[in-house]
Amino acid sequence: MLVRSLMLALLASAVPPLVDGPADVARIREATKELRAKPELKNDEKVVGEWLDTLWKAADEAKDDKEAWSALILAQEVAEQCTTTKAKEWRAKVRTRALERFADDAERMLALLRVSGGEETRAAVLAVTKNPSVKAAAHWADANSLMAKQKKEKLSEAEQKKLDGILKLLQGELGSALDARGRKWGDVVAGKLRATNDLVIGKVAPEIEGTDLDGQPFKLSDYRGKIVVLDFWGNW
Amino acid sequence: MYPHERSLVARLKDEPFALIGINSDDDLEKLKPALEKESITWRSFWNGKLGTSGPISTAWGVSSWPTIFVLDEEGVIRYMNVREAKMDEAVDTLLAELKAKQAKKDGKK
Repeated sequence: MLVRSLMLALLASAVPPLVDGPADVARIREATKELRAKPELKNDEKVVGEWLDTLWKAADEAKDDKEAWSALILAQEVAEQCTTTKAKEWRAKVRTRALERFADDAERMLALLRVSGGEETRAAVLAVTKNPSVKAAAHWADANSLMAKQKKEKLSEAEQKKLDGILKLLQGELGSALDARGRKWGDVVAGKLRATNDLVIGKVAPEIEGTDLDGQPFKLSDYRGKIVVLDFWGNW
Repeated sequence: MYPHERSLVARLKDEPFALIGINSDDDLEKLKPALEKESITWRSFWNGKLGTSGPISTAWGVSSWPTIFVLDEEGVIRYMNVREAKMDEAVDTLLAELKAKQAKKDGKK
């Protein structure tokens, strides 16, 4: 009882009375930051439920996509952190709303996949998006979780088939879709597979052909016969 | 990291050894003063304007910096992500191996 009243007191000080409009979004953002240190509040269904109601309302009444999105992605973040029995339902609800409005918006869907990393979200995104970059990112996340599993145990026949299919898709049909940093997905996946399979002790390093910092062309194989330290570096 | 690499390069300047960088800065003009200041004399490929998303690091699947590979004289990867003293140790081991191989070859002639 004491804990409960303490929590309410904390909440009252952290969350000012809610008003309509996007000001609420900023207010809840601040509140979630302050309360991050207090997991018991995050898992209070009443508190989180009120925040989410406010965020959904803010999304519905937002004057533009930007405002609507900022309410929805925050709602997703809040729902993701929550572990109560209702959390799953909430997550699905936010996701459905986000997908209804933004399924083909690559940047926002990538943000959603970052915030909500689960297989369910990926499946839901894949079911509706037509954007090849979004599809590729969701598939790649699926592939990664399968590859992580593969390191620990043998995949089932169905899982192996799924993984092979995804890798083929990412290097074929979706190969020229761009990732968040402007690279072709086909190149990214080929590089990652090479790093896992070929850039290992005992194998010959692949050729590098490029130019030096003065613009002079040279190749890694120019240095055969010498011991080479190859150093991926940056001055930051 | 520069002081260590500088001293490694200086120590092995007469040996069959090269330190080759893959520089992942996105702006070469901003990098140039640092090359001078830090006496970075070893040769680097430039990863291009996309910086850490450039073509060489992408093709190698590199996603953290620095990433280090140590190759023997045949281009075989022998060590990965060795730093500081461990890097010196790796290079010295490979140089000794190379010299032993050459001595054996010379002996057979």
